[in-house]
Amino acid sequence: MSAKKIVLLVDDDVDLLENTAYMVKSMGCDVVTAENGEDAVERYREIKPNLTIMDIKMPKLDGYDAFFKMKKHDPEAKVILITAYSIDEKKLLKAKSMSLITTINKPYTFEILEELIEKHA
Amino acid sequence: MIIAISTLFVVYVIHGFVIFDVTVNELKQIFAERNKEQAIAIVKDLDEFINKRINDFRALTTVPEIQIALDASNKEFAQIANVEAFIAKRDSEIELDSSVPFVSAVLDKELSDDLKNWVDFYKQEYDYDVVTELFLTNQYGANVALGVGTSDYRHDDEEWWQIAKQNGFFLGELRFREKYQKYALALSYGITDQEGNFIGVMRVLLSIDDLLHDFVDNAQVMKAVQKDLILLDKEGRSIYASGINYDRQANPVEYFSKLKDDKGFLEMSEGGFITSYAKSNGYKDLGGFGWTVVIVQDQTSIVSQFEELRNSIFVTLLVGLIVSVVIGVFGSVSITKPLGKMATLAKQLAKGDFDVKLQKSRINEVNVMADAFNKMGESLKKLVETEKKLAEANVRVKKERLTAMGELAASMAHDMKNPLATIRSAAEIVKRNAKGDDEEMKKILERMDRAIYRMAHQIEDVLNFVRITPLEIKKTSIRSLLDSVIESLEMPKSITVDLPKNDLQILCDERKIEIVFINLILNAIQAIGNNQGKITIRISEKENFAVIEIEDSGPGIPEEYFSKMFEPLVTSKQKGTGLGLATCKNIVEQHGGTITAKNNPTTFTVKLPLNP
Repeated sequence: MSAKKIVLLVDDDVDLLENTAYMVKSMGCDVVTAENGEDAVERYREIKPNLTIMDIKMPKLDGYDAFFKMKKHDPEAKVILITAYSIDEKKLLKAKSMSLITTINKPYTFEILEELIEKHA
Repeated sequence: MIIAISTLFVVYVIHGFVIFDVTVNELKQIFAERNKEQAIAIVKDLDEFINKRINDFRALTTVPEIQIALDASNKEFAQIANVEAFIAKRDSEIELDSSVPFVSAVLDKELSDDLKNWVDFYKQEYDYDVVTELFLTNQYGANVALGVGTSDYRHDDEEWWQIAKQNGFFLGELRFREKYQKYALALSYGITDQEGNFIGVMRVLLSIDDLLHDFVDNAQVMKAVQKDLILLDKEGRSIYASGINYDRQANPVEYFSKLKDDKGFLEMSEGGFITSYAKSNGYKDLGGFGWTVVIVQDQTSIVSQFEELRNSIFVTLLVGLIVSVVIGVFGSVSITKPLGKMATLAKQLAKGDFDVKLQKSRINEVNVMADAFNKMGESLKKLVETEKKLAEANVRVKKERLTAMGELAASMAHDMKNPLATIRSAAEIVKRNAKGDDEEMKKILERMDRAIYRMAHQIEDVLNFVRITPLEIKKTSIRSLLDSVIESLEMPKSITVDLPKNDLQILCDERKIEIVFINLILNAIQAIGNNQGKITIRISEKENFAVIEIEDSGPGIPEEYFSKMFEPLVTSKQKGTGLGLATCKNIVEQHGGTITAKNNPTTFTVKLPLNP
């Protein structure tokens, strides 16, 4: 069995963040959390997770910009963005062109989460 | 119109002239008649006057003084032996003259004075010589008293005296009296005493002036109205014509032969005289002199007056005609034309074209109207523009409000997502950690699940409906889209889905069309409910459109929702948002397509252009 997968979860909503972290932990992964884009980039540099699941709407640095930064630092970065329906078309296109894995909608079911982690982490 | 009026005028003029002549002739007849009546009246008056005079003097003969004096004289003479010789002698010696006082020796002075007074009274009363001669004789013919004039001593040898004695009255002719150098009428009265015995004769000479006094007055009155009053004697000689000018030696008037009847008028020649006449018939027991009263009127005086009248009428008419023509022309130019223009412009205004502009006119009232019109046109224009602007503003405001509301709804929905996700995740955790055999707990958790699901769905619906974003067009396979939708939905086992075998590639926004299919298929599932059912989906092509039919075996769309089911917030479900079909319609129409529904079987048909 390989080492535990590390998943980076980013969301400015603390409650949701904690709950999701619990869920992911119960799936058998290690979880690292961040509450804004800036912190997210920091943690990524530090930890180098296997998968990042990041909310788009965040203070300081939004999901897209954080993604661009991560990608700059590590072109192989695997990121999933959680869209919140006020899609910025341009940024999304740019992100897609930079091999963003996919986007998921909030609220997501755990099944979806499980699937994604299985697949990409 | 002017020609018509002119023709009428000419006809009227001719008619007028003809009528005029006829009328004038009739008028002349009327005048002749009237004059005739006047002549009759005048001649009657004359006869009456003469008669009165005769009676006046007759009354005088009955005066007591005369009777007494005559009696006395007769008694005196009766005593004379040879009356005849006495009288004859006296007669040759004396010539009596009233102006000579010594006469009193022969005559009764008192009586003579009385008679003189009586004559003077008349003279004063009438201001002219009424009586030319007045004296009394006794039954022997000898002069007893002399009032005025001159006389022989005896008169018994005269015809008039004898007639007076025998008949009681003698009426002489109007003759020229050499003595007095004037025309006078002789009257002699036989005087009787109370027993009826002849006692004497009174002789009176009435002057022509007296006889014709009233007549002359009448003549003067006539003159004032341009009529000549003429008096003719029995032979047709003029007694009076513009003055008393009787001449028994003169010839009768030339028209006398034409006066055939008792009264009448002569035929009038053109421009001649209207001659009316009446002959004397006497008065009561007075036989009359057979005189004729003639009234002559100059035609031209009447005619000329009427001609003047006629001419002035025609001139007035002509002036009137010219004026009316002028007014007509003027009116037409200044009033009718502008009014016509105004009518045309009014029609224009009614149609909605407010660009009216009327020219100025010379008439104030027309100007006022034209100004009003122009102002009205401007006002209407402004009004319409204002209305338009208002409507546009309203629409804008509405849009903005809707947009604001939409944005509010969107932001609200969006803000709910996070807490909802937290709840859901917590629910998941609880579910997973719950003891497997606690049925009660399981049910409670399932309820929570369902509630969460509803909230999520509602939020989705609202955001889907409100959010109208530009289309992200790309080539899509309808079949694969349907497949992914079916896969993502929880299809109950009691429902079978019949997917089409064919496929079409269309250009559309994949995400949005996915929402449409999700909504329609979800509706179908909900319609079938817990029963056994079938959903059939068909794909076809028609006139450059892709036609997708989603049919379900459910009970169908209720009647009352059929007409408004695509409107927002209309739902037949207890727990529906009412936004599902409205969202579908928005999306489909944004693509340039259509969405329709029918019952029996329940089918929703979506038409999307192959190439939008």
